[in-house]
Amino acid sequence: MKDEVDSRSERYLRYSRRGMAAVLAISVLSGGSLLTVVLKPEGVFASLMPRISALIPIAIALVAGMLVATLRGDRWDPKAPEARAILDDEWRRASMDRAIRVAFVVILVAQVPLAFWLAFWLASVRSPRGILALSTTTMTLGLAVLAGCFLYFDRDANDGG
Amino acid sequence: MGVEELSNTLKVHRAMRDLTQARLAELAGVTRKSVNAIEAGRMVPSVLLALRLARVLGVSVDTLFNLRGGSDSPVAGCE
Repeated sequence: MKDEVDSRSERYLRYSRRGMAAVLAISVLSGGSLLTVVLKPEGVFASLMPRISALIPIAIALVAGMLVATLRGDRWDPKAPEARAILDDEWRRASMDRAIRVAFVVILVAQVPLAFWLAFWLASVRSPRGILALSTTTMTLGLAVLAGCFLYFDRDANDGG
Repeated sequence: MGVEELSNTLKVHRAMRDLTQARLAELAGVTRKSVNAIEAGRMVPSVLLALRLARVLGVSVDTLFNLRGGSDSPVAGCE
């Protein structure tokens, strides 16, 4: 059993799922930060943003380093049979297709309430900020739903066999 | 016409050959998740994957997969 858990395929599989979880976390954090700045440009967070933005590349490099470290000395080789099996996997493709469909519907349905919410919130400001807020929210929501749904659909069934 | 449902005996044949999900997946060129999802009935595999699994397990596709429910009679004129 230990061999199975520690096999290269399993390491690659965990790596790809963690990568998607990192995409989810980064998209929520960066989208949320940008939205906070757009909605409250005079707020404390917005004033700290120039300093925080300098740390973003370091944070991304740190996350990428942590991801690579989970491969335990191995490296992601896209030509390896284990990587090809993951990239061409039917279950993962089906999960991604379902996640894309859900994200698309969520984005479409969310446009009207978002537009009303942002119009109310930004009633006193010029429209470019409203447009920026709407597009940021849409992208963040789309990416978060896509990555979240993929991780949910791609989970293991209880029947581990 | 009733609801058709795909059932499979993948787990049985895998156990008969003493293969883990991971090993079967490796031999069939997919991930353990695909084998897991097919066994649990959460996924209907493509014809290509069904053929690959059958070949790895040394059985025919219709031994591995069965269509339950619906009408058993063939389409008129095709008998």
